[in-house]
Parts: sequence; structure tokens; C-alpha cells
Amino acid sequence: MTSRTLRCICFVSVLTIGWTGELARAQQTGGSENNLLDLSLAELMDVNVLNVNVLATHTHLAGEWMIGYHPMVMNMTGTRAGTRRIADSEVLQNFMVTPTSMRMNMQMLHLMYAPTDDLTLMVVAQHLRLSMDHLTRMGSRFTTEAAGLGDVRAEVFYNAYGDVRQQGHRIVLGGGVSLPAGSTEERGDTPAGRNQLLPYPMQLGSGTFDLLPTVTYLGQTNRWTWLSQANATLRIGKNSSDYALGDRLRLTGWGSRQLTEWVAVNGQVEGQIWGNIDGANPGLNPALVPTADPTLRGGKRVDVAIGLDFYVARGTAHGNRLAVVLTLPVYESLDGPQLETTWHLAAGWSVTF
Amino acid sequence: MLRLRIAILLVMVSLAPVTRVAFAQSSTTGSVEYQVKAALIYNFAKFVDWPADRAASATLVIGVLGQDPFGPALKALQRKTVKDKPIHVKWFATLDQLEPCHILFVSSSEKDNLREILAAISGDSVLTISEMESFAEAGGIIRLVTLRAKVRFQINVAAGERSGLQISSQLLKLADIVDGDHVGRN
Repeated sequence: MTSRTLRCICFVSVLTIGWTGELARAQQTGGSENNLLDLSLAELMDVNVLNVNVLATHTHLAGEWMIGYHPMVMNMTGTRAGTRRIADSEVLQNFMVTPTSMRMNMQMLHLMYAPTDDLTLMVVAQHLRLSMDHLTRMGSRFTTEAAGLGDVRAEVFYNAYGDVRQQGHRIVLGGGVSLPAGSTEERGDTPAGRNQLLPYPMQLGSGTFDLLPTVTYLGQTNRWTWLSQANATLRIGKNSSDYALGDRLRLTGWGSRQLTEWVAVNGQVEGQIWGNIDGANPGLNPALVPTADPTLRGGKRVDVAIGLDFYVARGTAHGNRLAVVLTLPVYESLDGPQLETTWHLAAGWSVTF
Repeated sequence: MLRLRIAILLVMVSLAPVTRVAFAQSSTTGSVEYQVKAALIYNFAKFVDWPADRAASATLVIGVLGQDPFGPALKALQRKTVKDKPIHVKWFATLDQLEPCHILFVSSSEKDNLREILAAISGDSVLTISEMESFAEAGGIIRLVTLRAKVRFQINVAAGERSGLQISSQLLKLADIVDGDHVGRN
């Protein structure tokens, strides 16, 4: 198996299959027509009829804690300059080395707490495992790898409009900071020598304190939840290696339909734009490989995603959530030559208590 | 790479049947909110006693007046029994079509006709239920209300007594008690 992250995603998938069996059995036994009919009055009054913990809003009810574990795999294969796909041979006309593919395995740990209905605090720590395959002008291939802790995010989400516990419309404002916990000095063996400084996309962190503003509009009815969200990553200053990654802006449209009390299917369209690197690490030679060139890091991309969300609203497993999301890009324009994203698979388990 | 593709395939294979089964289940159950409200109506029937003449009927009839917000959730009650009586659900588009029933859910679509409806069935020993704001204050017996993501209910005890219904203390204990305006007596 290529990584622990992949094994975790497979584990979540197997759980999903197991739940499918349980659901199908419930349907066969006729319990699906309205399985709430066997509940007592008090139990019925305790059923949560509104999906309060909507995934992307990061808001919770007063006093709630949430712990979440989210493995994710992203694959990048092939090269683009602008929207045009270009061959490795074309890249190698201008550079000694070209990257051919990259995999990012990320495991995130979320901790959230809501002191009030309108305020949720969140801390996210992440572990990254990066792997990049290369082709040299001489025809040889090599792979570089890096692994370790990434940057840590601390964020606050404030429900500025609407009632968290009612259907209707809400506006959630978010603010936070990304702390530079991830390394910007990752090294590896390359044809140029042992223990060479790896280029920008192989570094685990930004090295800068980054601001993370978010504005989310959320609407909810009995079965439907929809939101639009704008969030940005704004770099403050430069890191110790004398550069700052480009700022990033994401615009997201997301919709979810509640299928049963505990299953929702969701779809998402997300557009994002990010800038080139400001400054340059003097230890990297931009003429050697495109990934070491700070002017070849920006781009624009539109992704579509589909996912399933399982939420246990009552009973002894109350508060547990499983989610699986597959994301595919439908448009990419890169300040290239730059590797293009081909797919992105994420899973997640969380429990609210 | 092959293993990554196998993992994606595994996830997609797992998602497809879940989506299919869940969609199938969704089409037979309706929204969670109205499943809960339908189940509450079923429970109300257990905790209310009708006068002897109404209690003697072979079935327990639940009527829905106006637009039905329940979807399929209320139909599921027809497979159940209350006090050994099978439940029969009937739908009435207008007050003119109304037939005798034990429980009448008055849809919010009938808001403009509420006084007329309550007056028409006053003294008929009908357990009236609605989601309409101020329904219980206006002389209805039970109002269902979704509050802070949970379904609650208000009971106008006086209106129940006027209709000749005996409402169990177990039901009253869980309800918000409301004083009524006695519209039905106007």
C-alpha cells in the first residue's frame, strides 16, 4: 500500500459498505417506512430534525466538542502551461528536470469547541507525506519524498446572522491564523547530490503566519442545505528562507440533500485562484526544475466534488459522522509548466459530544 | 498508482449502493421532521381517549385538511394499530369535503379558514392538530412546533375538554400548556 492515508480511506470505505448492508437490511424488513414510529414520545422529542453540524460551516451548538480525523490523498499527474497540456519533452527544452507526478497524503486532526451557539473555536493539526516523481533531460527518473507535521490552523467562527438551531438563512464569519509549524527546509537526494534542498511544493509548511478569513452564507430547509463560501489565505511577511507562498482565494458553492435521518449526499463546485511566490529561496536554482521557479507557482482551478455524509443523530453512537468526498478538477489554468491536479479523495470521521 | 486506483474504485463501489438504497429509502419516508411529526401524531392517539360513541368505531381515522406536508410519512401509519384499531388516513382538500375523523391535522395552507374549520367541528370530539402559529391559542388542541432543531408540542387543555377528549397526564407532562381563545364557541 502506498501510504497510511490510503489505508485509512479504504477503512472508511469498508465501513461505508458495512453501513450499506445494514441500511439495505432495514429496508428489507420494512423498517424504512417510518422507523421512528417505535420511539416513545420523549425519544421523538429528542430527535434532531435539523442537520445542525453542517460540514463546511464549522459551527456547533453551545457546549459541544468535536474531534475529527480526516485522511486525504491528492494526485497530480501531467503538466500544464496555462490551460494547455504540455509534454515532458517540451518542459525539458527549458529545464534540466521536470516533475511528472506528485502525491500528497495528508492526515488532519480537528478539535472544535463551541462556548456559545454563535461561536465555535477550531484547531487543525496536519501530517503530510509528499512524494514527487521526476524525469531528467538525460532520461533518468528519480523520486523525492518529504514527511512531517504541516502548519497548524487556529480559527474562530461566528454566526453573525440567523439562528443556528433553526432552519432558514445564516451568515457565518470566520477568522484565524495559520501558524508556521511545518518545515520549509525539507531535503532529499537528487541527481544533483545528496541532501539537496527540495523545491517549494515539497516543503511541508508555508513558513509564514497566514490570515484565514472566511465568509459563509448558509441556507437550510427540511431536506436541503446549501451554502456559498469565500475563504482566503493571506500571507504575512516572508519566511526565514526569504519567500512567501502566494495568497489564495477560494469560492465555494455546496449543496446537500438529506436522504434519510442519517445519510446526506452532497455536491460542490469550487473555484480557486492562487498567486506566485513572493521572493525566492536562495538555496534553489529556478533554472533547474520548474518547481524551483517562484514565478511558476500560481494558477486558477475549478473543481467539482461529490460526497456522502453519514451522521448518527441519536442513540448510543450519537454524534458520530463518516464522510467521503471525491473531487475532480474541470478547469485548470496554471502559471506553468506546472503539475496539474488530477483527483483528490478525502474521508473523515468525527464525533461530537 | 494501481493501488490508488483500486482505492478509488473501492470508494466508488461503496458509494453507489449507499446512494441507491438511501434514495430509495428517502422516497418512502419523507423528511426527518415530518417523520417525527407523523410519529408524534401516532403517539398522541395512544394517549387520548375519545367519548364512548366515537371510541366504538372500528377504525381510528386521521384526516389531513389542506395541503399535506408529510409526504409518505403519514401513510406509514396505516400499517399500525392504536388500541387494537387499524389506522385509516384520509385527505380532504377543503372543509366542504371533510368527513368524520378522530384526529384532524389542519394544514398551514388553511390558515385563512381556521376559525371556520374549528367552528365547524366544535363538539365533534376531534383531536385537532396543526403547525400554525397561535393554533392552540385560537382554540385548536395541539400545535406542533419545531424549536431549536427539536419538535415540541403545545396543548390547549380547555379545548380538549370542550371536545370531550381525555388527554393523558403522560402527554400533558411533556407538553407546553396553552390557554385558548375559544374560537370554536363563537
